Amino acid sequence: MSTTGESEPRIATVGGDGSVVVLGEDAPRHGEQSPREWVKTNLFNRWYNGVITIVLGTIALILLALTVRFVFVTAQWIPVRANLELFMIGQFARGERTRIVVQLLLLSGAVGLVVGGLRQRSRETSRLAGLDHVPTRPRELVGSYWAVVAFITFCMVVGVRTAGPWLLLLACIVAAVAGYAATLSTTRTPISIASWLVVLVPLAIAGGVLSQVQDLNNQGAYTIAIAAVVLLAAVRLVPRPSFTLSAGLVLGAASFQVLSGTHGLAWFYITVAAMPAVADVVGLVAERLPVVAGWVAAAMAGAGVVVLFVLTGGEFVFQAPEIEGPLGVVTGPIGSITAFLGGIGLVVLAAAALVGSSVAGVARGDVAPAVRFAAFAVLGVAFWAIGRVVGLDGLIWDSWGLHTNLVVAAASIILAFPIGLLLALGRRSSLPVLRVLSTAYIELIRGVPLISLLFIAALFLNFFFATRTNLPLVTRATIVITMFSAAYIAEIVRGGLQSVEKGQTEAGQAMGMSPAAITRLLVLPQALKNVIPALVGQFISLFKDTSLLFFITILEFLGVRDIIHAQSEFQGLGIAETLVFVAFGFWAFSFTMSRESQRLERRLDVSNR
Amino acid sequence: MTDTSGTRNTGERVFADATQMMGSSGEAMIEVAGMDKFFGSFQALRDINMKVGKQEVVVVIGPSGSGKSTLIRCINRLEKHDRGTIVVDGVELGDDIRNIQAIRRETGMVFQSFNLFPHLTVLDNITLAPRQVRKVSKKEAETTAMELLERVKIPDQARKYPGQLSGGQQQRVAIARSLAMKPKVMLFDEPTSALDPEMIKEVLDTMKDLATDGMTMICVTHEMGFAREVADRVVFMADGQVVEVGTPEHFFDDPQEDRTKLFLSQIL
Repeated sequence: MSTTGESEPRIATVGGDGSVVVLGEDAPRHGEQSPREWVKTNLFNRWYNGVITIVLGTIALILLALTVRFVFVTAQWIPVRANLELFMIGQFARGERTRIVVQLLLLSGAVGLVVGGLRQRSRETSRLAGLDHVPTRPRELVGSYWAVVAFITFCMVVGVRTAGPWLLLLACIVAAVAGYAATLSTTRTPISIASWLVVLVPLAIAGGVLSQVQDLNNQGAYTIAIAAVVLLAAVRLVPRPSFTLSAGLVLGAASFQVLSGTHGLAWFYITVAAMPAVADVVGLVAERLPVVAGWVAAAMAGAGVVVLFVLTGGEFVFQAPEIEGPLGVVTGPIGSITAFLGGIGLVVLAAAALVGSSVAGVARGDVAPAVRFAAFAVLGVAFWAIGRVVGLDGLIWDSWGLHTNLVVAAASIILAFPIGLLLALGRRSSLPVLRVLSTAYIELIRGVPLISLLFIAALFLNFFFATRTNLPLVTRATIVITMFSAAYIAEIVRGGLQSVEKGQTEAGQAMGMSPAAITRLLVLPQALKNVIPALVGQFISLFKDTSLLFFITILEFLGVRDIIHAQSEFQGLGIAETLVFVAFGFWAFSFTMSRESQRLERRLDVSNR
Repeated sequence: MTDTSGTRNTGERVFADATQMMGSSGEAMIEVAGMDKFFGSFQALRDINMKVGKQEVVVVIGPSGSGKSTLIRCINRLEKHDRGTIVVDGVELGDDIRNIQAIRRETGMVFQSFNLFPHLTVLDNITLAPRQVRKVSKKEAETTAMELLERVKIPDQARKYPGQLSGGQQQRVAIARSLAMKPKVMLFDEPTSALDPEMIKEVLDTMKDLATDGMTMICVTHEMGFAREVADRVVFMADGQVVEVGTPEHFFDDPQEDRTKLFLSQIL
């Protein structure tokens, strides 16, 4: 069972959203004894334990008192208060800030949808298993998210003195609730639909009104927001977990399209590429059979995007008459055609793989892959088309404070995981070319400090790309962090693959399953489950490593301090305080990831006893 | 079987008997001829010759390390044999992956340690291979699975995970999982050795039912009662060789070889 060391009741769980299924009798709980007894048996059961308790307890109390005194009495929070916006979004262009608002709203809605979708899936799993569905206990959520809530509360209380951010927070909560509410009911009674419209219509109207405000110059963003509301309505009408999850992911991707603009097709590809990958992570988590085609598609489409970037200078292929790569300048139609074939070919392959997995799924009588594919294909195209019509210009990804840390970390995690997985499989492959290349890549990357790779990204990564490419510094840094993390993830996954008993493979072989099917359906799900703690550890480390972007002149969360203390009014003022604040921010998110991974382990425990 | 000059040089004599089938139809389902198997420089199997007829039940017994498990693991290519031929249902086992897969499709195997898939429900465990390999629709696979679970008498466990079942139930699921592929041969690799004593019977009963229904079976087991009751023939192995073959009556009541007598005296 759980390794958290807490006095957990004997509980095993199934499904995606942490819903709990109690198996068998209620196990004895520690809570039966009185507090006095507890203190006696746990803290003073031996004389030396009593001494340790008193000494360490005193030290802890003194530290707590000092901390409280620092936070509430002595600390100079003025630099934090005056620069909170700088910490959060760095040098984000002033005139474009409404985009952040829309992004946060869409993201909140997406979180609501994904949580609701996981809940739907969990209910379905429980129902099929003939077990009672017990919803997630609030205590679990508090245990996971209190750190982030504390951080946000701290920011609001210490740093915010206008109504705006509070209203935004409220709106985000409403959006998340709306997303979740869309997934709640599977019945379509008039009352349930009416109650749903009560949430939906005001949202749509608000978006419409906002989009008419001309001087905001962000109509595109609001149009995307309205499309999101329509999406929620669709989710309400198609109560299938796979649809809900895909919709949530599309919404999440759309929230980033608000920043990246709608002209670049690349984002559309990334959107498409991320869908099956993330959906299959979700699928693995929910103990469903993963669809390897999705992974292949994700990797190929990801590669397609990179090729497009590299060969075309970051613009769509048709507009790239002149291409300069590491081998010199390629001009004219040949360059374009190469780029076209390289990029589009991979994307087409990816799409073919997805269609293939859908068709294969239907042939097996399993429509989930097809529904998922249709959902994100239609929605992805719809978002892209809307963007083309409305035309929202993209912003150049830049020094955006904490926003940069979070987005770089999220993008790197999403991209590095499938790459690492493929590298791990490659290293175990029986094909020598794959094996040697994967091993060489892993060992090469692991032997180099991340900071040196980041300097490479900053100083001469662009040499390897076409002259017109000129990728933003943050994008290059993200590529490097992704490549770096993929090598570590590969080794973690390889460890997991080796941890699966040989008998599992033999059982599959004995029934005539193909090696690929054995890896995909039998070995990988168990391997990944076994390495959740190590993987999440790597993700946490990746997130913290985003602070290294500071050294290549990107103004991320940590780097904001330098700007602040360079101002004459904050020179030498509250240096410790800003550092504590930054550390608190990093800790809050890292701790939450850690707690969520423990929750995930407990949830998946049901099949492993 | 009058040659009692020891176990090492009886290959020729045994050959004749081990290839004598008892099956009703007289057709061979499995033919093993002159098979050798090495692990590095260690010879695990030495000149194995054996025929198993359709609907015949062959029980393989012998001391540990005698190569019993290796023998049946060679038949579905979980181990690669080094010399000789193995023919299953008319298909010769070679390096051609298609032949290997064809034989594996027709050959069910039950392991000592069950090897159920812990991350899948009982139902998914059973339906996985038919859907993947035989391309059976989900609905059809589940119907078959439920029938098989009825047959092994645990239909109410379908939606549970293997970890929630007892050892005996797990092994019965494993049998059902193999049967779901509609195999022509079942290989049992010490199916009761990892079970608590009170659960052995339920698994053996399932195997008896299977034998009664006419399944061709090769069972490696230490359950002498089962061998006596169900086997058409008993094959005794020691040191990688087939030492003696016979009907249960002959084998248990009138063993010919010294090695066999020694083994039986130790276990009975």
